This record gives sequence, C-alpha cells and structure tokens, in this order.
Amino acid sequence: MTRILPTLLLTTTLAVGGVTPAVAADKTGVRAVCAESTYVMHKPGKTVTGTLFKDQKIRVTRYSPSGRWAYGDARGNAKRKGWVKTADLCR
Amino acid sequence: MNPALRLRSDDHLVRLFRAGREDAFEAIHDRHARRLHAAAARALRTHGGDPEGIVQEAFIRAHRALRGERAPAELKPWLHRIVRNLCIDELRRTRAVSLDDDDDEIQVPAGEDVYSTLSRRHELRGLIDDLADLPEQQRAALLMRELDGLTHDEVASVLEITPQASRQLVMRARTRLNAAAEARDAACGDIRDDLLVAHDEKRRPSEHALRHVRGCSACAEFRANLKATRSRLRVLVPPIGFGPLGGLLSGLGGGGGVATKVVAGGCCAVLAAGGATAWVAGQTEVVRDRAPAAEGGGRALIGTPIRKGSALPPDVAIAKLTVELPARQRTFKRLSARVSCPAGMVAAGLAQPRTQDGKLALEHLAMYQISKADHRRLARGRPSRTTEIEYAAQRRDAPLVISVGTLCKRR
Repeated sequence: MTRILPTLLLTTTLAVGGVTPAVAADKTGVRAVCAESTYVMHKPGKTVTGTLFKDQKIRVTRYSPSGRWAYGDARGNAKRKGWVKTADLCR
Repeated sequence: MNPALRLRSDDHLVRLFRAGREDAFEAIHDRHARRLHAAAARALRTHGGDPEGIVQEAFIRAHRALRGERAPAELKPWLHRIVRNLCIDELRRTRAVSLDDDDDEIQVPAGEDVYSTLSRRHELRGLIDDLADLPEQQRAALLMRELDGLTHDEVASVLEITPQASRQLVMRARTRLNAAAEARDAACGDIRDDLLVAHDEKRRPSEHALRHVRGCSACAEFRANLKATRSRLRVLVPPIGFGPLGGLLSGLGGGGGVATKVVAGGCCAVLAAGGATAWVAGQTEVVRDRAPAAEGGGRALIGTPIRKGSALPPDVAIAKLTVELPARQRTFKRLSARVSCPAGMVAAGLAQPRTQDGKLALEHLAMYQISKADHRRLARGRPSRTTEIEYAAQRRDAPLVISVGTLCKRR
C-alpha cells in the first residue's frame, strides 16, 4: 500500500498534467487573443500573412495534432483564415 | 537490338530497362534522339552551342536517373525537360561569357554587320530578363511549348494542370512578353511624361511605364529623383510652431498641410533616433545582407529564425516601405500600401512593422495583414512580386512614420 499510493498519485498527476493543454486545445468556437499580438500564419510556423491584436476574436475550427496551433477564421476587421499559436489565445 | 522493341510503348520500354534490359534504352534513344536534337538546336540557335553534346548529356542523365530513381510519369516530356534545363544552363554560360562583358571584342558572325550583332545581343538580353520576370508556371509552359515543341496535353501533364490551363498560361506569357518588349522600346520622353503625371496626381504610374523603368536605368533614375525631390521638400518644412523657417516657408507658400503632418511624425522619430534624418512616408528599401531586426517566419524561409544581424542568404531579401500613421483618427480606417520585392523574387510573408528606432511598431497598429487577393495567391502557391499590405493605426495624437514590408524569396 505504501508503494501503491505514491505511484497512484504520480500517475494521476501526470495524467492531469497531460490533459490540461489538450483541454485548452479542444475548445472550438470563438476565442479571444490574450497576448498583445499574435501572427496569423498560412501554415503552422510558416508564412506570416497577418496579425491579430489583443481582444480580437477568432473562430477556431481545429487544432494541429500537437495542440500548439489553432486554425480558424479571424473576426472583426481582420477577416482572415489562418493558424495562430494556441498559447496566445485566452483559456 | 531486338526490332520488336521498336513497337513497344515508352512506359513498357522504361519498365524493361529498369528490369535490366539495356537494349530497351537503345530503343528509347533511337525513338527520341532526333526530336530532342531538334529542340536543343532550336534553343541554342542564337548562340551556336552544341546540341549534340546537350542531347548526349541528357541521355546520360536519363540513363542514370532511370536506373536509380522512380520512373517518370511520362517519358517524352521528362526527356524534353532535361534537355531544356541543359539548354538553359548553356545559355546562362554563354550569356555570362558574351553578354555581360561588353568591353570584349565583338564577334561578328560571317555575313552580319556589327550593328546587327549588337542589336540582336541587346534584344536577347531583354528577352532573357523578360523571361526571368514571368511567373514560374507561365515561363515553364512557354518554354516547353516554344523550345521543346511539346503539345498542350504534354505541357499539362508535366505541370499537372489541364490542357486548357496550359493554353492560358502560354497565352498570358506571350502577352506579357509582348507588353514587356513594347514597354522596353517605348520612347523615354513618353514614359517620363507618364511618370510626371502619376507623381503629380500621387498615384502609381501605369504598368507600361513601370515595365519600362525596370529595364531603363535613365528613367529609373528620373523616377528616383522625382521621389527624392518630394522627400527633400518635406524635410525642409518644419513642424508647426518651429520658429522662423516655418514662417519663411509659409511666406513662400510652401508650407502644405500634408507635408507638415508628415514631418511632425518624423520629428518624434528624429528625437528618438538621436538626430538621424527623419523617415518620411513613401521611402523604399531592400535589405539583402543582414537582417536589421528579428523577423517572424524566418525559420520557414532560411531554416533558422531571423534575428537582428542574421546573415540573409542571397535568395532572400526584406522589402520595406515607410508609411504614415495618421493622427486624431476617430474611426477605424483601413489603409493600404504596395511593397515590391526585387526582380526575380516573390513575397514570402509579412515583415515586422518597425519604427525608425528599430522598435516593433505593432503597438501603434490596429491591423496589419496582407490583402485578401495576395493571401489567396499565397494559399494557391502563386505568390506575386508585389504585395498589398493592409494596416490601420491605433488612435494617436501625432502622426508617426513606420516601416511595413514583406520577406522576399527567389522565384
């Protein structure tokens, strides 16, 4: 029991830690930009085609397999489809 | 060689050769050598190159490639492509030796006078430059059609497009080449009139004039002088309330409102930059050697992030243009600017907007993106040399001049 409990705790911690970013990267729908600005890219990490500024919205429709990039349709003045960093979006 | 091989299709011969039948390659050679020789001779006609050597080299390469790599989808267009590439290499070599060295003694072919030779050489140089300015697909389609004698179906197969699209590409390429030739031959006086009118009306000169300017150093200098004169005049006009010079210029009737606003923005930049010449809107710059500041999207372009001072490879540049962010703007106003990459290069994404002191200018902006049309071209993999950048300013009390721009890469 003394061995099982720490192992169980560790497993639970790892599982929760592993799931947390995935939850953020699973939210499709309209999300706001929380960073001061973020690039809009043609492909993840490739050509920069625009910029979204703080509080601007993007309708996220999907995420890259790693969850680091979100694809969507920017709302408001900057009507542009592209990839943005998930980390720059509000949780 | 087995005579029956002559009746086999290209695909079959390639399969046999890849299975080890050397005589199948002989059959391929016999079938295509004559046409390839004719295509090479046509391509090298003006230079007196060696089409026989080109064809031999092409078959050596084809032999090696067919043994080692996967088979081409269609043999005939593939062989023609190899010959075409070898011809282009040969033309480049000849051009490097003969065209770029104008001081050398002119070799006049028998039966031709010096004037004709020079004229032909000049035309050829222009044609090569015009070809280099064509979009990649148009150039490839035209050369395959004109130099290799391929049908539209074959061109379509090589470029993976429809035959109809191949026809359109070739037609557009011919139209552009004609327009470029007309612009090149236009009288400098007419072009300068056009430039003057456009400058006076503060609009972009006609495409015809711009084409001419690209190939005419005298007219390019004339246009640069027009721009520089306006810039110098703007710098002369002091900001509002800046003492006697302002009064003097007002007295001369030279203190225009727009110019004053520009310099008012430039004034702040001068102070920030410690006394350097103030930026004014409309100045262009192409950075080639070292990046003056970090750029996003650099990893995709050169494999490593572009940081301040990073060396830029020769096939990468940053094209910049200074624009003015207006003051006291009450509503959101979308502005736009067109930035051109150097000849032979196309846009490869936005460059960072910067203030004169090198700081990131995003905080002064409410929008910064490429236009929808250019975004669409980029998404289709057909970026153009000139990009329209859309931007909007944050509300501010004084105007500010910043630089916007694009990264550029070799076509």
